[in-house]
Parts: sequence; structure tokens; C-alpha cells
Amino acid sequence: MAATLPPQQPQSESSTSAGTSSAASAEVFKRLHPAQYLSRFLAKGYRSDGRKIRDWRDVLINVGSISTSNGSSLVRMGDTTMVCGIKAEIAEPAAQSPNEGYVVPNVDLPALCSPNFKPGPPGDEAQTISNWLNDLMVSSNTIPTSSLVVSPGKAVWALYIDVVCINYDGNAFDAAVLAVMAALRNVKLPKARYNEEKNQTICSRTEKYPLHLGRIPLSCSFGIFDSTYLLPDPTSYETPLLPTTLTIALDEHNQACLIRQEGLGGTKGKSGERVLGEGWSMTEERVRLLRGILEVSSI
Amino acid sequence: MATAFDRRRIPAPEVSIPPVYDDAELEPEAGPSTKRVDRANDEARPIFLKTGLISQANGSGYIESGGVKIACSVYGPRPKAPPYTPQGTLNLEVKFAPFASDPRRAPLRDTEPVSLSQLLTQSLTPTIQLHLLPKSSIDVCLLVLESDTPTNVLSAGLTVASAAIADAGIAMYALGTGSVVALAQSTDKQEVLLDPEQSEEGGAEGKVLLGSMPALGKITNILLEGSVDVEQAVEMIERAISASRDTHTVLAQSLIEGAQERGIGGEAE
Repeated sequence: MAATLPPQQPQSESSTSAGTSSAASAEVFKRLHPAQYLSRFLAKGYRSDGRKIRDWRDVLINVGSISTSNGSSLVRMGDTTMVCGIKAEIAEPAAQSPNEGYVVPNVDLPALCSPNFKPGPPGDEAQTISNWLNDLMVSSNTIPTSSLVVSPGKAVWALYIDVVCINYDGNAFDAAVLAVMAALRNVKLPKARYNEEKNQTICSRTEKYPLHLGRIPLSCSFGIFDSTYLLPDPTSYETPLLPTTLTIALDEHNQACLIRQEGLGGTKGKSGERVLGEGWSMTEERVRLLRGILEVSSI
Repeated sequence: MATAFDRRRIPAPEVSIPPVYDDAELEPEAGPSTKRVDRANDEARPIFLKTGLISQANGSGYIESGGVKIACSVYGPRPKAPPYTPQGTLNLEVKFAPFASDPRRAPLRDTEPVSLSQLLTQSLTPTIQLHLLPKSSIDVCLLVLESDTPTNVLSAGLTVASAAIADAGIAMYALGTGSVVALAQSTDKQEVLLDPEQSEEGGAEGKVLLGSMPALGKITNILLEGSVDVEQAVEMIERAISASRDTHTVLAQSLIEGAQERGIGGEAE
């Protein structure tokens, strides 16, 4: 009995101080027991950032705001913010592939975007996302490399696609893919001519053309919490609590470009296949919405 | 050329050059001494400054000023690894996005940010009350998303960094602001131009970058380059000082707006 009395005393003192102390203790609880904190929200049908369990975060796309690039985009997915800038340069094609240009996508998660990243060369996560992005673009033939040829064997375009994270609040891969696709649609390349005598490529200042794009994949990521909940679009707070992650990328015809599951699939009472199917149908719906935003943004 | 293979990034072609444009298509310009037409000589371009956009950071700011766009975040004060220091430490890093300038900045080959970081640290240190933060460090990261000249980057960087530090609630002596003034040779006489554009700065006789704390009437840093008479130098510095007061107004206003958005404005200061 005596042990339960002291905590009640401050509450009776004044209502305002009790309000602030309970807010502070919620903050402490959130830090000390993240898994329990999240599971209490999920039990009520909500996520810790206030959305419903199966909701995605709002997306905002802005294109063409960086004048030093050939094409650019800014994507906000909730608080996660990515900027993608694409610059084209002229290079000599590799001897074994004279009819192929270069596509060089890189994702950077600088120290600016999160307290967990250090200054310096790209860390593990940035390298992983860069590789996934490259694999996705190569395998779905988003930019046919043959469309980047200026003069076979002599000069091709090298497209440097750089994605920089400004604010890291989870699900960086989806945001990076969306930023790249929005920026690619925004690219205007100058018309280029290869001058045989001078061994030089000359570009036109006035004539410009957009890129020829192949399949445009958009990705959606999920995490599975406690083998129970399938959570779309995890935040940076939730990500460390999700041992299983699932990523599905679909093209315009809802054909898969990428399916990746890391960790044990399935939830309690549902097989991995059924959870994958659920994720797929949620992805179809989300990708349709994202494509709508992508169309509107480029007008 | 690229002897060290970078395993941390997607491989790029060994050599690539920025596009060379056909100069025959260029409409002839009126020589190097073009006169400023769209604004007065003592008129700066508008500044857009907003604080608190980066939710992960303790304080943050974003600035668009002329041809420069910079995002800045502040982490700290956070505990610093030993050895013990009686004062706080300011760690500042300027980073350019590869697409932020023309031509592209290839990672690893870019050495410019180091000297910019050094200069910015020097002009920012006097504005912060570091003696209040023993054993702590303040980490300031600036990411340049678009740039024209290094001088404009420094000037905008100083302004946005002090906005972000103030947004983080770190005690300062005063807000630091940057301003740039160039001395340009016009057709018949020399003109002092405030906030020069890239083309104006390129053809200028001299330029001054001034870091100052307008609220205290103190100067934290002067960087003058070129060949300039003493009287002209004084005139340029005075012009920069008066411009920094305008920047200070914008800076203070954006801090108030940022505080109000978070619901801590309106209270008596």
C-alpha cells in the first residue's frame, strides 16, 4: 500500500504539472521500450506517428527546381525527404560495348539527414540502397543504354543520377526510387553531334529532347512487426523493430520488377504466400496513387 | 586518372567531360562590362529562409539566395569523446551534392569543401557561446544543393548556419550573417555591386565577403580578393555592413515564424 501512495501525490498537486510529467514519461517510455510503445499503438489500430496501421504516408513531388542539373526532383514521403539531381556528361563507350551509354545511380545518406550517420564516404546503408537501385534500374531496363549513344564507339552520354537524403525518417529506398523516376521524366538532354575531325562532341544550346524511358518501376516497402502486423512505409523509429522487411516494385502494367523479402515471412496464422499477396495488392493500389502524383508533378 | 577504384559507389566511366556547347548559336552579348538592369546596384536578390524543416535534427534551416540553395542541420550539443575540453567544440562540414554546380562535382575529387568548411567555422565560432558547453560538441552539416560561386555559398552558408544553430536553441552572442559586395568596372567608372551574380563576380576587380553580427555591430570575418584601393575597400565594407542588417531582419523574422509554427512563439521574450 505504501508503495503505491507516492506516485499519486504529485497528481493531486496541480493538473498542469501532471500533464507535463505524463507527456515526459511517455517520451521516456518511447525511448526505453520502443517495442512495447509501438505494440500498444498497434493494438488500438494506429501507428506511433498517428496514421492507421495500413496507411501510407503522404507524398509530395516537386520537379525541376535545381537549375545546375539536367533534371531534378524533390520527394517528400512523410518526413523523409530526398533530392535527386541528374547530370549528363559525354564519355567514350567501353570497347566491348560501343552501343551502350552509362547510367550511374548513387544514393547518399549524409550526416545532415540523421543523427545516426557519420560524415565521410557512403556508409553501409547508402551503399546497399545504391546497389538495389542500380539492380532495379538495370533489370527493368528503365533507361535503355542504347538510347544514350551519340556516335557508336566514339561518344555516349553518361547519366549521373545522384540522390541525396535531406531528412531521414525511414523507407529511404521507396523515396529514392520515386525521386529517381520523377527526375528522369524531368531530364532534357541537349541534341549532340559528334565531330569526326575534331574528335569532339558538340551540343546544341537550343534543341533539347527528353529521355527515352523503358519500364518505370515504383517500389513499396513493408515491415513485419512481432510476426503479427504487416506495416507499410515504416518510419525510422519503427525500422529497427521490424525483423522482416518486404519490398515490392511494380511497373506500369503491374508486373513485378523486384520482390525482396528479408527475414522470416508470414504472420501468425497466415502463410508467407498470403502475406506476400496482401502486400502485392496494397502495392498495386499505392503504385497507382504514386503514378497519379508523378503525372501531375511533371505538368 | 582514376587510379583508386571506389568500391563504395556505383562505378562511373573513367573519364567523362561536361557537354561542350555550340557557341555559334549564342546571341552576341555586350562584352564583359554588362550593366545591371534588373535591379539597383545596392539591391540584393530576395532571400528565402526557413527553419525547422529537418525533423531528425535538433535545429535546421534552408536558404535560397540568388543562385544558391543550402540545407543545414545542427546536431547537438551532444557529449564529446574524451579528452576533456572546457569549451564546446564546433564541428562544421560543408558538402556539395554532385549535381550542385556546373560542371559536376565528382565525389573524392572535390577538394573545395574543405577550405569552405574551414572559413565558415572561423566566421561562425565567435557567434556561439561555446564556454557554456564544456565536454560537448555541436555538429553543423551544410549540404549545398545548388551553387553559383564559392563566395555566395559562404555568405548564404553563414546565414543559414546561424539560423539552424539558433533553431537548435544553442546560446549565441548574436546571429551571424554573410554578405557579398563586388567592385565592377563599368564602361566609364567603377561601381560597387551588392550581392553579385556569377557573371558579375567573374568580371569584378575585387570582391568582399563579410561575416558580421549586425545586432552587436561586430564583424567576424572579412575576406577581400582582387585589387582595390583603400577608399574603395572601405566603401565596399560599409556597403556590406548595411546589407547585413537587411539580411539580419530576414533571419530574425524566419526564426520567429519557425518558433511560432512549433507553438512556442507569442510568449514574452
